[in-house]
Amino acid sequence: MSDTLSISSIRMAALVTSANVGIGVLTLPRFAAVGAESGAPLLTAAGILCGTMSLLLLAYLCSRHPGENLIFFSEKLVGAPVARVMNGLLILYFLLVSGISLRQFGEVVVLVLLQKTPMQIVECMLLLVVALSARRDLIKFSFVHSFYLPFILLPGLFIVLIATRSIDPNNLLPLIGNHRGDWPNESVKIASLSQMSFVFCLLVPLMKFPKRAASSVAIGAAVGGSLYLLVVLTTVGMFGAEETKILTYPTLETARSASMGVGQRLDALFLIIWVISIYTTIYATYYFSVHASRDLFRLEDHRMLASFYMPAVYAVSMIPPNIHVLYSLWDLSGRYGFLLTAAYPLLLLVMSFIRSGRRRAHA
Amino acid sequence: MGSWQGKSNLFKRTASVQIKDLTLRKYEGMQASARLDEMLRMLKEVFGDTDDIAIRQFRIFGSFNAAAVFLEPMVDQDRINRDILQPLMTALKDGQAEQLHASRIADYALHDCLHAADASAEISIVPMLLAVTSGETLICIDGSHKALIVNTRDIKKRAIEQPQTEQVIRGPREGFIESLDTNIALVRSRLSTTDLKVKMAPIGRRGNTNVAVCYLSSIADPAIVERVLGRLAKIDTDAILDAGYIEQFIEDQPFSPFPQIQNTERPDKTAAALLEGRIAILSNGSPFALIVPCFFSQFYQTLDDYTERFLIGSLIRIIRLVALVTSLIFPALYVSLISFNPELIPTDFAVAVAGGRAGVPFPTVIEVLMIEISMEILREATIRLPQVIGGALSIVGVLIIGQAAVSAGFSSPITVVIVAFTTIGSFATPAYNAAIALRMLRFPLIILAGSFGLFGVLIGLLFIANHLLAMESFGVPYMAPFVPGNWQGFKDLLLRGPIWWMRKRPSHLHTLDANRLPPDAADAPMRRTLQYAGEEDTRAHE
Amino acid sequence: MPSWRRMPALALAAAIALPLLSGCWDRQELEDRALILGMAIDEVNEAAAGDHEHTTHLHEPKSLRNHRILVTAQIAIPGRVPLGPGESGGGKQGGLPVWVVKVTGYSIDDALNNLQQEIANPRSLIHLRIIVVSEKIARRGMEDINDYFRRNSEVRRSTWIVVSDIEANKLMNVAPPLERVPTLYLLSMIEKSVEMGKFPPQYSGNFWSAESRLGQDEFLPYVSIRQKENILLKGMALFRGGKMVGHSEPIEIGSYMAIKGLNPGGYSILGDVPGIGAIMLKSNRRIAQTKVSIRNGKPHAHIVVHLDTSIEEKIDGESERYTAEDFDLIRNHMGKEVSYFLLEFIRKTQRYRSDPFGFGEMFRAREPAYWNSVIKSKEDWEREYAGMTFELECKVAIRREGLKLN
Repeated sequence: MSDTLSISSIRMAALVTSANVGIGVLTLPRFAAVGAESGAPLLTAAGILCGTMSLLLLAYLCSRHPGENLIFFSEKLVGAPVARVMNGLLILYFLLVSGISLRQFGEVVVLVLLQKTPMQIVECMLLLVVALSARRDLIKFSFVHSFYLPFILLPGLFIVLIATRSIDPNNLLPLIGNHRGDWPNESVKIASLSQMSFVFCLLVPLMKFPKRAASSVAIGAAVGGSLYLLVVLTTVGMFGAEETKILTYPTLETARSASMGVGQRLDALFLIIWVISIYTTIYATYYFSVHASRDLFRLEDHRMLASFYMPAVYAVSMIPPNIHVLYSLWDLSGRYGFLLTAAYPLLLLVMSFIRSGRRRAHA
Repeated sequence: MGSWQGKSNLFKRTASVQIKDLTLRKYEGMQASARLDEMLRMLKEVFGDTDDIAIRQFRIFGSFNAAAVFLEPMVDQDRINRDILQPLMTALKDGQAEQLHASRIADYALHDCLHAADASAEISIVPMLLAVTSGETLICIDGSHKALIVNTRDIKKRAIEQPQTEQVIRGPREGFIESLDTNIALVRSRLSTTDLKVKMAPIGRRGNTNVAVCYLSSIADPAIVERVLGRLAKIDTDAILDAGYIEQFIEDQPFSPFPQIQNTERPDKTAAALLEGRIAILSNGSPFALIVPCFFSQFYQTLDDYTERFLIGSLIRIIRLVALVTSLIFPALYVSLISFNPELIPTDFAVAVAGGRAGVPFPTVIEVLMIEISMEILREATIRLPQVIGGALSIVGVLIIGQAAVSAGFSSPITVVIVAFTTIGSFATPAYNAAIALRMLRFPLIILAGSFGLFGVLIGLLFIANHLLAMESFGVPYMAPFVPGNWQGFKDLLLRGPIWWMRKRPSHLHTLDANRLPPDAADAPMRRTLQYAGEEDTRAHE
Repeated sequence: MPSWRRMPALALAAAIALPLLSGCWDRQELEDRALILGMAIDEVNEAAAGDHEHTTHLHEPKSLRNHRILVTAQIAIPGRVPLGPGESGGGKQGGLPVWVVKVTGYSIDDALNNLQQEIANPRSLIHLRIIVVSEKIARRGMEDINDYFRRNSEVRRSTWIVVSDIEANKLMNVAPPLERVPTLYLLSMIEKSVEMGKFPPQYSGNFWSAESRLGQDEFLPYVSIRQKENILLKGMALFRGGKMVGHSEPIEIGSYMAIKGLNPGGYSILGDVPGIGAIMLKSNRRIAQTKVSIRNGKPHAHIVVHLDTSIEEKIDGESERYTAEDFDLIRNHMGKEVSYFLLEFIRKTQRYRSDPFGFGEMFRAREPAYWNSVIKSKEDWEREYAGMTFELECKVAIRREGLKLN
């Protein structure tokens, strides 16, 4: 029963891609344009590279400990108290991210699709789907991600293809932007987008070949990153940096301008498909919290937790009073979250090297 | 034959008590008596209130008292006369009869006299009674502990016809019938190999319906076979009146709207499934074979895909897929477009659609629901009605009611078009049970569309897709080979690859022999393609 | 997995419970929406305008004194346009298939709120395809108008905004016999002229993007009415700093497209070639190469325009037969002529200090050092543009001359 008990390298890559591509698709071009004007694509590339590196670090770390997942081996590496605090922080961080993502999703839907429907209802519906599907095991979790991947990538590519003919290369020059932006800071913000697939560290022990985790993650992150990059390229290329800066959801406007010759609006269709990518992303972050908590508290079953975290995520999503606070919170969580999700694995990796070095010295 | 507990290794060690009906339980473990009068008394006690029982007393070889017991309606009396009574009642040569001891008479009759192929000797009561009830003839001999059982069953069978539910343009015209023996013969005639294993045992306390499990021992995964046998062994019911009963007892997710076991009336389809490493379950009295494990993709594939050339097969399969998706989401999309997102409709058409709807008193969602429900009623009525009237009714339904509904201002013409299209689409799905599942799921989708528009439809689809992804059929992922993906499986998923190109059996079935074709199977056809009008041809002309 | 067994049941329960609980907030049947297909925006003569409808305010906002606008909306009437082919041009019989409503207000939203007070069905801009702005409003500034349309998620980025030289509401009443719905005629006229190469695809989205850019000024189609029912594409309305400053001639749209190298080429050029007569050349394809540089601290552009043309007409022919030299003569002569009036158009825009070509964007992209030091705002570039120098070459190629060879 190899396919129901283990995860192939390709499915792992698909999981990373589908988890990464999500909430950022709509707003990333704006962040990138604000950060670096016409240098937005380069900034995005830098940010994605940064994020991918940190994921690779984590993947390498996991493949060094193929028997257990992060929650367990971290306790062996840095000692149970420290590891538990850090793992707890990770769980809280991803709950927070789930909540903020959910709120962003709700804001878009209420602004564009369902103006009169209360946002709470919209959020609850998605949360319900997420929580119900979070009850299943890790293998089924990976199934979901690989199933939805085409529905995430193809519409994105489709919009990009349609929009390509309206790209003005002048909008993308000069490559580094006219003014000096705060590149390190901004790229960290973009890098935090790729941390959505952090959950893969729980799945590495289930892989057919855990040693290939790093290459899978590299492929997955590269595909997801390329989609982000393409989106930024077309959006900034189409509108120009100045216009991108003032659009709330620049990618949505790209979809909106991309008329299929008949002059009809495609944005609603695009948004609907975009819901799938939001779903997979929130599913990934929520699932991490649920599953990591199970391992942290040494529980038998995670299904209770899957329902138990629902109110928490919902509450987080209700915190920001308006869209401005929402995005500054998102900004903040991205920055400090990246610090957490990149530095902690680094620490563990160093410890892992030290331990194995000591073991070799003993032998 | 034995029982399913015996067939399944899982149950080998556990002491199982098979519960019979009351009479059988009473005689459980009893041995037959050597005295004929005692046996007859017992038989009269069991079959006392049964008027169709016949007890024919006679003397074997002119010297031993015996009785033939059978159920009159179920036997071929000519055969009893010719094959049993005649040889047994012929007096032996002088002296031979004296040499025979009464206790050996049964063996002598079985080995030297009876001209019946299916005959055996039995000493326990229960099998004897079961034999009588299944149409066999029981011969009790005075002085012998053994009784003879001769198969004289003669139950009227239907002729082998083309299956009504699975018609093909091109392909075999044979279909299963209600007789298990015939059905197994139909499968065996397609797979004459010693690998084809058929395990038979009765199921049901009162029906004792014979159920056969067929698989190819060199291909099928033993673990799956074991799982099937184990689940069959657990069935404890009165009788299996149709294979559908078995399906409901052994399926993985009884609460899912989606069928997890394929059924077919076609022996060729069954044989193809066996060759893929699946397992077929046939039951007596049912013209349907159950095929496990099963993937979702099987429900939109038909035999036609494979008998026709691959390009045509692929095209038709794509059209069928479109129809399948249509039958699920089309009305929901329509509702959300009209009521929630009219900006997706071209402007001039939107203005016209608004005109078409102007007099309709209901919201689109109610309108669509009403028309859909009346369509379902029509569909159900057409199945139940005699065929001649049925055809007329469906025309009346579609043409007259639709037209009348529009002119009465009850619905807009586009709604009628959409619903008609959806209904036709759902008939293009070859598997009736899968088509019904999708038709029914369309109603919650319409309701979701009516309350949340496209967003609701998507959430509904997420629910359905997640459910499908979580399902398993006998330990095999239901959505395979799409998820988990498998390159060889993709060749036969949305398209139907050339037959010489699909080299592997479905990998998710974990077949013992994964290769269907030799690795170079595609070489010869490809060479012909590349050297089109090339060397091979010129040499042929010379 | 017992939990997954409950899933369909839960889904069903949710599907049934949700609409009961929700009451379908956003459900709004198509025929119950007041679909605004087109909108015209005019200035209001305060004296003649009459009362204020106090729907969004009680007292006149001080900053908006004398800023009232007249919004004329074309609302589709469901039922007037028959479904299916039916009677062609059916709109005419039962009156117009659209309902023209006029309201005044201090802003678009104010006017639309007033409009909502007057009509029963909720207004909906999802099918707003064309916005006509009168020249007076355009000269007063488009920013306030843009703001509403940009914020509203119902409005498409592929809406057309056009400027009319007369009162815009007159265009809402034009009902030519070609289309069932008047606005759609106006729309198809502009869209078809884009297809034929008569106008660059300047949708509202492009207009807004140009407005945001520092190195480009926006422009819009400039239309007028002829003989009551006919709509004439009169040129490009040129903007500076969000205000209309002037307009071009129709042929100058062709000039614009030639300088930008936009295809398909739709304009024909009538020119005199000495010794041959007047020649009509139809441009089929345009390629333009622009090189920007800084000369003496001033922005400079070198533009090479290639025109693929064919001879359409020859008037008052003096030569009986073409020779190869004649072909060259036509080419060279027409090349000069075209480059002359291309330059003429550029000078005109320089006089207006309005850069619809986006030369500034090229400097921003390719000469960032110059750009970053000199340009801080859009006005900076508009000032620089006026002093920009140009070199323009036009290379005409004649590919074919139709079915007649002399």
